Amino acid sequence: MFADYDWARGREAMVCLGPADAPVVALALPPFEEANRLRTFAMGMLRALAERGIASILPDLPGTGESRIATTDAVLEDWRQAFADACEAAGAVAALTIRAGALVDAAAPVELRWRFAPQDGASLVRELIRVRQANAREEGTTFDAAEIDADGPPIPIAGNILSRPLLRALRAAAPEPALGLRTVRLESDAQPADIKVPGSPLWRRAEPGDERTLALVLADDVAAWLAREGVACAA
Amino acid sequence: MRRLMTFSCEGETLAATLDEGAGGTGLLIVSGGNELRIGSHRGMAELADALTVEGVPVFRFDRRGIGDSTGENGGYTSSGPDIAAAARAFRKAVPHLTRIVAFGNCDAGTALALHHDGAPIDVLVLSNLWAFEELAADTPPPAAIKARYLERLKDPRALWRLLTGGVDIAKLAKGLRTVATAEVAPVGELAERIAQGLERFGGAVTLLSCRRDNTAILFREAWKSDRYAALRARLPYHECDSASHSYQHPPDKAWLRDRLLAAIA
Repeated sequence: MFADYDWARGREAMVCLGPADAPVVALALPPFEEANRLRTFAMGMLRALAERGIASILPDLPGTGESRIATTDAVLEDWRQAFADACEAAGAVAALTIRAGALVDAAAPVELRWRFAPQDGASLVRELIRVRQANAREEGTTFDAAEIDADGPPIPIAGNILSRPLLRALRAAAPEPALGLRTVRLESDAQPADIKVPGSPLWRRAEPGDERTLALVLADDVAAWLAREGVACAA
Repeated sequence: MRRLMTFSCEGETLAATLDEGAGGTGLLIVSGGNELRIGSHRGMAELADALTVEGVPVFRFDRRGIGDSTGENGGYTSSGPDIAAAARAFRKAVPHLTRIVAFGNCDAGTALALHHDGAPIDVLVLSNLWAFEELAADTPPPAAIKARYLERLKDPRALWRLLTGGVDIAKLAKGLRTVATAEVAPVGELAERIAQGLERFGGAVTLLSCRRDNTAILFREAWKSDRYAALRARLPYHECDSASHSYQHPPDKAWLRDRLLAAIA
């Protein structure tokens, strides 16, 4: 289930699932607390894909998960490089991303990109600032969003200590346009998508709810789309 | 060296991370809530790093239905088999291990207190023990309590946030404190079972508490009761001067690390 992958500046761990001779997809989770909230759900989706004859990898990017690199030292460009190198190592044919995971798929050597509820960096950083400001209010202080543009120590946000360069890089980032792109969103999401599916925004809560059903719906969507794109699944 | 591995539990495949160490006493970290084995803000992975530099082997795992593990998530109440299987897997992965100290925060601590039987665990370090009885559905709202706070208490998710640091309980209406300490009977059946579990355990137990953490405040009500008198007399109980539920701030992290190293020594 676990393997290592080498990227330009180090070695990290990844989950590997599915039949040995199957086409491989690579998954990128969103960063920080949403990764914690979505990992169980995402693994359910990847196991469902394995049952549909599709193998997968879920790489820990440098400065996330089990990486020995601290969150404080995480660099967006390293995430993109590492994800691309993991895709290369596994021979992935498609990149699947969830929420702000969409910010790391641009450099992946794949022709197919599937994005669930993609979020741009400006929106992600706005949410992080809102959390930081709410915490500040509870402590009787304030937090000025302009801090991100000034030099200074990393900023604690909901337990994660995030460097200002990372916050600036995230804020400027957006999911890149791509050929071979499929976007899936929840029915409650007004933004454009190729298809909308029923469900609630499970990245907002830590308690499992309808995530099994949604995982199966999304796995079916990925499998059907790959088949349409000419990717043959293992029997 | 950090190694990722799997082990079996009741026919399911559980994921674990071992941080190797030359020491003969290892630390088994049991996760609370529905947290991944890395912990919120990767805090448990960070704690493992801090201990492994001292030569302590550390083992963290996702119980069934959590993170990378297969199976159904049954919460802390059914996690006994997962804990026992993890302890056995830890010993198998580190043949030079002679002693396991198990650490759990919040309901992970409660799981260890209740379900240690049969697990090859030698020492318990339990923090901010979860001893909260759920409010009965037919409890009449006390006159002093604002309806919306009572509504929140009846919603398990809001209750969880309330007790694990999402809300500053001191800032709510005074009536809420009345509910929390008197109307909701925190010294109940769960606190009784925890006491029995602690009395049953054959090895050393250390209790940790964050002074202004809501969950710890509620357990303290039980800890101060007559039922716990004998346990109070013999179990070390250390308090961290903090409102954090999960040792979020650097001084709290250092305090926790030092308490664990003391239990391991």
